Amino acid sequence: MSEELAGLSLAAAAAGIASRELSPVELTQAALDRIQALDPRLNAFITVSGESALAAARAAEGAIAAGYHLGPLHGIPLALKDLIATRGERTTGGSRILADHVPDEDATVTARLRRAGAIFVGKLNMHEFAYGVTTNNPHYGPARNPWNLDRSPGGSSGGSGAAVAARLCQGALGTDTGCSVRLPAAYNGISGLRPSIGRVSNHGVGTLAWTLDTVGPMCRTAEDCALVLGAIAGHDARDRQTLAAPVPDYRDELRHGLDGVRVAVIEDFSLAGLHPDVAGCAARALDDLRAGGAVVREVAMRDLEPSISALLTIDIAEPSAYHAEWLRTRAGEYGDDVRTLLEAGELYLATHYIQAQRYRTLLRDQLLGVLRDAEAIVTPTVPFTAPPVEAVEVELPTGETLDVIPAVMRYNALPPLGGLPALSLPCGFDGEGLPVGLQVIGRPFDEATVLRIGHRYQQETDWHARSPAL
Amino acid sequence: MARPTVTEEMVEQLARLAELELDADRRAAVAEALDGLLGDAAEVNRFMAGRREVGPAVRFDHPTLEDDGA
Repeated sequence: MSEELAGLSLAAAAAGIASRELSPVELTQAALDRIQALDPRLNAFITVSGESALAAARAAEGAIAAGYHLGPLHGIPLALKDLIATRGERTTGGSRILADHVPDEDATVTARLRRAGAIFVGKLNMHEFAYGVTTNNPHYGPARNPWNLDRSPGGSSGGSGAAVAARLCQGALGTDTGCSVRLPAAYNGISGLRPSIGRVSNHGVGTLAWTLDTVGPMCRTAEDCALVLGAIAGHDARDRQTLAAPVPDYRDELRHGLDGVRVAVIEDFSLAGLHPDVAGCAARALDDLRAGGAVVREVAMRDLEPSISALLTIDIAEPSAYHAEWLRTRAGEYGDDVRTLLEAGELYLATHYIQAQRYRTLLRDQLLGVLRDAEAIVTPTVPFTAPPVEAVEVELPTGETLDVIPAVMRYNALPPLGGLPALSLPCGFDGEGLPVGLQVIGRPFDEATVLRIGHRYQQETDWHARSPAL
Repeated sequence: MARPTVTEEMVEQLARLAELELDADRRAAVAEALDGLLGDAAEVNRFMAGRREVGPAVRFDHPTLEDDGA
């Protein structure tokens, strides 16, 4: 019974709670049982909050029985990346420096989920300070991919990806600066949304790079992501980047079909230079979208080559500015990889950073040009599948060996540089049984269309419904 | 002009300018990392050279009456 409950998607669990056929206490207990059984192997959690979760679940159950149902997240077990502040509960940022940090207030996203009635079962493992793509954390141990425990769950929200894929909770929040929601979503075979910059408040969320950071849902399905996004999106006076505009009813938008939706595939880029299994999965996914009514066409884009370098330049300089004080007072408490990047970032020239920010303008204009004649751009999320846990380099299909950070950025770099929303969806498996991700990039603040494309795709396929044998 | 390989001595000088203390082990690690990273940055520099009409994608957010609690 416990496994059956843990296997429910967020939307299915919400329907059960709304009809009072499902108990939030039993659902939360099922999640906690599964965490206890499986997390020693996955290391997806830094902190498990069993007692407070059960207390919140009992309160939710009582409120719902009394007729106070707050909506689809009421009584649903979720978990938060440990970069997101939780009042009275330690929030480490995956670091030793903040190992004992207990915030005295919630992040805005935490508060909004609490108000929606969500139950927090714990805080999730991550790459230290979100500064990396592996979740090979030197302080809390490496998180592992539930599809193959020797493989990486990706990062920096690797614990979020592993926990959702292993059915340890119905959904999670991650953060995405360069790739950190979408990469672990792809590696772990789940759905993960990077919202537009300004759609979701970053208040109370640890900073990696101010001009790139976002918070996004990581769930089993696009529909589940829509439900979580609906609760966390919207203007926040404490984050002045957030847009003061109404938040659509994302779930309601899912009911529209794909007929006539225009999907752009970037010529000599979207399907080039991939592992053959990834290329095959992406090509089949495009066929599925066509069969669903979408109009898929190739578009030409130029000058994409500097995108990875531009993203890395910004994502080196801004973290060094944020960490400047700790780097001078507590440098020995960082893990080696993060410390080296932070120190290197101190030595960049100002013009390096400005040129990268100027490149963003050029790239964004070009992406918006494509998106004038298409509702979405589709690429794979990553050109390959999850590498070994300790890998710092990967071999590309071309035979070239590349550091894992630039290697994962080929497609991931475009949405953050453009400030655009992007959803990673499971679209198949490679020959070793590892998940493959498809990325759907949308217009600024049009998360609704991106989620709709994902939802309709998931109505016709079952990749999202498959779960790892653990 | 070709960009030279980043050496520990260069890192030592740059770190002093940045008022950042790095011991010999750190200088070696940073030199290796920085050499690759500056190669990336140089790619963007070359690409943007001459495109003087393009400004950076950074914006300032202005407080509103609502933000100020009015």
